[in-house]
Amino acid sequence: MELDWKQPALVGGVIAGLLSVIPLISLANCCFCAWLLVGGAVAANMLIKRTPRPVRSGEGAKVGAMAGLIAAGIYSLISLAMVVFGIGQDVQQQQEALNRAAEMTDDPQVREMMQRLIGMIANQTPAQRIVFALVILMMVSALYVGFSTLGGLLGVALFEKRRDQPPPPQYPPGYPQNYPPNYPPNYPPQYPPSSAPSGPSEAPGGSGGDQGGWPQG
Amino acid sequence: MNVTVRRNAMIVYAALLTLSILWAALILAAPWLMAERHFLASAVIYKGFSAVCHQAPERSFYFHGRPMGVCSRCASIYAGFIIGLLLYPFLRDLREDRFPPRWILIGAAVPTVIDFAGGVLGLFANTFLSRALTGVLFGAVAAFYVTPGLVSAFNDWRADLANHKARC
Repeated sequence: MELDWKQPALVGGVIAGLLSVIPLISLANCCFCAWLLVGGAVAANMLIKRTPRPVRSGEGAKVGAMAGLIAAGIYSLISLAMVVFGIGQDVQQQQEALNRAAEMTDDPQVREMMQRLIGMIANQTPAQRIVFALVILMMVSALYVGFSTLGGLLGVALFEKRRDQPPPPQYPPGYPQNYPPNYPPNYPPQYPPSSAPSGPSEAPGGSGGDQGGWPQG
Repeated sequence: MNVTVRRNAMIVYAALLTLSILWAALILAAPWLMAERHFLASAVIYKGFSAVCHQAPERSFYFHGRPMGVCSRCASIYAGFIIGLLLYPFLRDLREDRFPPRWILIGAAVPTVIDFAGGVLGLFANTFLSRALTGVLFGAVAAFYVTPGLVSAFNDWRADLANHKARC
């Protein structure tokens, strides 16, 4: 059966991607990429709700990975636009991080190298800045896909409650499956109520009853 | 058929274990490269991991005198994941593509959530030991959910590929 991947992946990806770029809210990603896990799990949950049969773990991974790709695309587009148009504090943040790292060491040679690196980052041309951003974005995109896949897997583990049900019957190819609701006619047969108690002489499995058989009503 | 499924499972397991070890190596490489004065490479790795972790130095394990690429909780979860992967073949059939019961996953996440929430809400101060123990537990259990999921995904992908080839 073909599953409808697109909408769950899109919804999960948009949720994860947008929440990962909104300032302050995106800080939750510092906690084990929380928004990516949520996005993957949302996609898996949507897939489960739209699928009449139990969703397999692999399908959860697949929809999670697709959601992660979409989230990475959204994040990359917005981040690249910010770098190109000089919006945001990215360069400043890099310098601050390096400054902090430089302060952590007592080695004068290391400090000097760090200062040189800080100078390099400050004097980056826009092209260099874009290349640096692309390298980082590739790493981040791989992380996004990985964590979102994880979210999809965990989503199936948590939300798929039909795992222990038997799979639907597999009909041979070409077998008609669209019978009218009351087909076959006069089935199940209506027997007159029997006054005789059913005893051990009854054939095993003859009347169905608790042992399964044709569903009643 | 059985041989194919077993081979698929082996491929997935080997790839997952290799990637996890590489991931852990990157976490250690960030401070090591810094100590070896490869600042740019170190900065790129630290920056990459900043997408998934706050990297607060006061909450991180140190390696070569510098904080690791991720905080102690994250590092413990990753370490636990590798431990879980190493234990996996002894505890479950690699070909198994169904998850263990979900209560085990929820149960393994509870200590981490309590430890994290207690720290955030100021109810108690979590320690390196509490973060490490709860993280390792959650990571190890997570491996038992990730592996069958990826095995199932890989089996599906190979089956789709075979069907596609047959149609062509």
